[in-house]
Amino acid sequence: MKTHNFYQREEKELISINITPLIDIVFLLLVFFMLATSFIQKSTIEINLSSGKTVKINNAKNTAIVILNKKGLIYLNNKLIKVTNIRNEIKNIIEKNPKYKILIKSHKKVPVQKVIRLIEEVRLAGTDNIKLENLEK
Amino acid sequence: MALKKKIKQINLIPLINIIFLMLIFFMLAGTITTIDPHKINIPESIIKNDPLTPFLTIIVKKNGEVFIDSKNRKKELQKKDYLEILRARKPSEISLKIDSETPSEYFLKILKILENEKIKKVVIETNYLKE
Repeated sequence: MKTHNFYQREEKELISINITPLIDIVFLLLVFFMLATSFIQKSTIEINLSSGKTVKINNAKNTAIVILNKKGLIYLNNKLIKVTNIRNEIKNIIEKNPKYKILIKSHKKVPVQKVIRLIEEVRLAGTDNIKLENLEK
Repeated sequence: MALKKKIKQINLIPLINIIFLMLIFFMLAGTITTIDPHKINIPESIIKNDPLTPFLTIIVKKNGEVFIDSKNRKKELQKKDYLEILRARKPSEISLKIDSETPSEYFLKILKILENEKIKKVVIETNYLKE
């Protein structure tokens, strides 16, 4: 009878493991990761400075000039164009002549974000022959 | 009495399961953000490239202040200061952390200086944004 009681008590103790501290810690970890993690993916844009030197810009016929003015309007060879269309336009130019160079002239006050978007659109059109310059006006 | 017993026996296992799943999701899917002392809002890009671990990072704030790495975080660098650092370290490529609202004149000025210092490649840090 005594032995029976002893085993019964042991069984009861095993069943009632206190999991509250475990839940506390897991909750803390969860809150930490929810606050500290970010789902934004990092990326990079490479700019080859040595290639820029080789692009000669004297309004030659093999150069397409993209102007980004103070208001953020884009002109491709003096023709107003939307940023969404610039990729196709440049693609068409490059298809005709792959050696075409792209000169991006941006106004001094234009934010970098817009210049980077233009660089990317030109890259996606299939050329890396890009030269950056400040717009004098 | 029966009600009291029922209340005492709330099953916590499904709750713990879900919390564990959420914890594993956040641990694996996200990346832990670091505090940026300069509060730079880097530009967004539509091209996905792998982030690099560059030798040297130049930080440009939206008012044109220039910092190199995080060591000089408190002190704004003048042109001669960062030229000195560039010439001492002679990096072949540089990472540029520039605020998206910085006027492009500062961006082009920095590129010109780096070109004159014979740096071949500049990698601009961006946040990837799907088109």
